[in-house]
Amino acid sequence: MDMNANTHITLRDAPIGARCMVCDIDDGLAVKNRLTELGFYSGAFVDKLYTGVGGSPIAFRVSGAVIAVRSDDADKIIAEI
Amino acid sequence: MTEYKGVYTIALTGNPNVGKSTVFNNFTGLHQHTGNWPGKTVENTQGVYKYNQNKYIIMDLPGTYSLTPNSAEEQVTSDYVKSGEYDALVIVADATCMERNIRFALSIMQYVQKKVIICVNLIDEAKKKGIEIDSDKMSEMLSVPVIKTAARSGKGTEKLKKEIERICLAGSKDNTEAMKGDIAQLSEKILKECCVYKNSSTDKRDRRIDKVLLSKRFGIPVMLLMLALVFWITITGANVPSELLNKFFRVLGDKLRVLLLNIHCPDIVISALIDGVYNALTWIISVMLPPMAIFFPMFTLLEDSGYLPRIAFNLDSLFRRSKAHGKQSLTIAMGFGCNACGVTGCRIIDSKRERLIAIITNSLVPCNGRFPMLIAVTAMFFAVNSSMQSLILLGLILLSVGVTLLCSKILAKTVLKGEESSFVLELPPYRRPQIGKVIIRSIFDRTIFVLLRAMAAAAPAGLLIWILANTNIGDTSVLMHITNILDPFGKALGLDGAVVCAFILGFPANEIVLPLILMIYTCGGSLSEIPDIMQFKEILLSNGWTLTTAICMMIFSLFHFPCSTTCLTIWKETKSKKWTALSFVTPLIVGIVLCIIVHFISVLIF
Ligand SMILES: Nc1nc2c(ncn2[C@@H]2O[C@H](COP(=O)(O)OP(=O)(O)OP(=O)(O)O)[C@@H](O)[C@H]2O)c(=O)[nH]1
Ligand SMILES: [Mg+2]
Repeated sequence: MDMNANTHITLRDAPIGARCMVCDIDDGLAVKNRLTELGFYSGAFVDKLYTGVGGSPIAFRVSGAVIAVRSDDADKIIAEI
Repeated sequence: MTEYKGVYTIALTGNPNVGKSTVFNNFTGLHQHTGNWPGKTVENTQGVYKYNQNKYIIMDLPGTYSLTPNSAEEQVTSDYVKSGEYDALVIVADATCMERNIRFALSIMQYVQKKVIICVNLIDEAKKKGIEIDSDKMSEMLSVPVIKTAARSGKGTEKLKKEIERICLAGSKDNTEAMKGDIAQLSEKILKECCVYKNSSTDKRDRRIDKVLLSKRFGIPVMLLMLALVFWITITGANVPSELLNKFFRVLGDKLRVLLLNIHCPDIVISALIDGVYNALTWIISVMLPPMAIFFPMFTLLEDSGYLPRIAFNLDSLFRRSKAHGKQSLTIAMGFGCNACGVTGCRIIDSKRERLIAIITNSLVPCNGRFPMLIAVTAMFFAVNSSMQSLILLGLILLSVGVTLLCSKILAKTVLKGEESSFVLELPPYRRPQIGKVIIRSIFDRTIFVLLRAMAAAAPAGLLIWILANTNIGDTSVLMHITNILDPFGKALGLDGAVVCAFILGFPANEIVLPLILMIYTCGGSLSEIPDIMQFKEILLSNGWTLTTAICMMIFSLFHFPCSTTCLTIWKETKSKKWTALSFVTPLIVGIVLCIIVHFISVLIF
């Protein structure tokens, strides 16, 4: 993969261990506000840490804390890696 | 008589799990529950402390991530913070997670221009992680006082008290000026200029532990192993003190009887007091107290370490499949301690539908008061050694969690239809629990409390049974009449009238069911002393108990109606007769159905 080109993917599809920059959160996401407060705002960096059995939930390091969200929700957050 | 010069109100607010309750306890000397997971405190709590002739009323608010409320509880906190009905507002921040905590503090300071104090807590942990915070600089940039504390050890709290006094007495600067401009930029600037990170990564140790405890392969096995270990320690540790207490109470009972005889107490009164009240009370203490006193502290240690949210992480996919909330595993875990606490704890679930599911199904898991009952029956009928007993207990827990999931799913498909909501779970850093403190606190706060409640229920129930057993209608006692009436129902469940009667009388406290069964069987005078566990078994066998009875007894212990305290709590939380009634009958129906099935199968086999 060309590391210079910015790849846009959803946080669900980002590989484990990747550092991602949040670009956009889908307005349809019910917890959009909550996630923004927790540090998932555009321009923020988050690290994908682990996933649970079957790929959900997914834990991210964000704003110095570890936050887990379900994969369906992570799928609504677009990020750049 | 103390005369206070003035009375001031102060409020503690901040993100969840930053140590608000710890600061509160430090100030007031109270023992508000703390725990290493976000959402421990769900109710406003008030306390009082005195400082330099002034009285301070301090409010411990539930943690919140923002002032834009996402749930009814956050609404309360948010309204209170915005109302300004206090003399000082202490925003507690986590020094190990400044980025988010500064953002939160600033968002509050947009609404509250005066009276704010920032308390940067957990400074001891930050230091270990190589994080340094320049509180003077921060104070200058925000024009509010910033105090660094380590509330658990009490470091810096004196300074915080002094600062609160200053704000209350002298008032504070207006910080509107400092808050001008973009909040996001300001918080970044503060982070850059006031926080120094000496290590590139601050959470290596936590992530290493997580790799095991959250791993797809080991996560759940490790959890089961830990549970089994907790049960094993409980059972093994409880054996000896149980026996000792039993012996002690027997000797004491004999002495009491002699004493009562010597003061020429009428036989009937002696019998009522000793065979009725004394035996029921002491049996509860000797059989119920030791396991409770061991299980509860161990559970609190797990809670203090930060492990509980990891369980929620590991089990979320199960709950998602049942259309329930991932945090329901946290409320279930609290239910193991006490179902009433579990029900209150359901407030951490934001969505109303999923919260109701969690409340209604909470009593499907056994509380601390029911464990000793399960252990005793296991010990009598199924297993001699404690390893076997722990495995059986683990099996029962898995059964109860399985039934919880199933019932949640049924509720979600019928009366509580709706979309599953998103769930956001914070995984806090691991913390070494304060072992000594936890043990002392859980014994004093929980065990003694539960025991007193059980005894308060047991004494009148014991007396009632004794009276019923010794009042005759025709040539049979009233008690016999009652158990005879209940007998057909009991028999259909693989139990009998006496057991059903004991469960009904045990409504105020589950702990007393087993001693009541004993009393009902032996009332009429055949029992003159407290039996040990094997004598107890003999009594049960001579009253027609079989293996099937024992199995049905365990099933019914797991699944029947919630105790009176829990029912009351459910009513308070839901404010609805309908949901309270549903919470009452759901476990009851499960118990009845399972018992009938087991009974039916055993009739087919034997
Ligand atoms: N090492 C250390 N641990 C602390 C300190 N203050 C609190 N803790 C621990 O942090 C955890 C959370 O403390 P609580 O007081 O329950 O936090 P809270 O802010 O009331 O949390 P919620 O009620 O969930 O909002 C507990 O395990 C405390 O023992 C501190 O200064 N140093
Ligand atoms: Mg608290």
